Amino acid sequence: MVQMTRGQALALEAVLALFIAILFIYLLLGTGVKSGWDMRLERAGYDVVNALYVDDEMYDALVTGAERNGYSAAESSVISARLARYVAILSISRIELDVEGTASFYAQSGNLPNKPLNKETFHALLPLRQGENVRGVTVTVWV
Amino acid sequence: MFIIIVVLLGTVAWVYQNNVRAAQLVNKDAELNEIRSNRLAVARNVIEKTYAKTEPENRAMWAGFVSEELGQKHGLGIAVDLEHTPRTVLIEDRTYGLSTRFVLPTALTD
Repeated sequence: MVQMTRGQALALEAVLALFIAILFIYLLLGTGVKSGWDMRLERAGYDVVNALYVDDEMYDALVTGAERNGYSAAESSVISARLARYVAILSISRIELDVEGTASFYAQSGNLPNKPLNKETFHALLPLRQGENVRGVTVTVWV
Repeated sequence: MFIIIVVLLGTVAWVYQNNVRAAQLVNKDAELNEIRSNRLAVARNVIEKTYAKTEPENRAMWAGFVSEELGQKHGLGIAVDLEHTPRTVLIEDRTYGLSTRFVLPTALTD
């Protein structure tokens, strides 16, 4: 068996104690309860879908273009400007709005984060001609 | 003495890790429920808003579209009852056992 002096034993004990202290601190502080989902996506999705109906100017532009099966420059401009406004208000990176079989619009933040974005998709409906026809709308928000 | 301290610290760390894992599971469940509740809320909002913008004579067609198209896209079961007064909608998330039933506004002219 290897014989150690008292000094060597104390030094070895100190090194071991240091390792254990580091391990203990890592276990205690290194693991928190991390969220696996960015809930801003859910909040923003609800708000953008809600805005489709309560923002009269954007709603009128969306419906008028969908009824005609094509959007004029003025309608597209209104919709894009409103989406850009909602990107700023909701502090998100990008919104995409796809009116089924008619057109797609998007707006994005000027300063996108330098990392991959998360996205989530929500579905809504557009009643056309007082409900004679219904068109699907897909809203995708990116954070 | 050194061994006793190591064993005690190890036990404390092990118990702490177990608590963290349990908390993470609870947190994940809560998050999932919140997400699914939000989807129900989005679907409900779309139904209420589009119902108000649909003329009474077109509501049967609207109800069919809501049940099939919107329900399928959101992964929800949506049943619109226009036969009885008050008119109601039942939205069910069968996967997670969530549901909501609400009354649609009924005007005298409907």
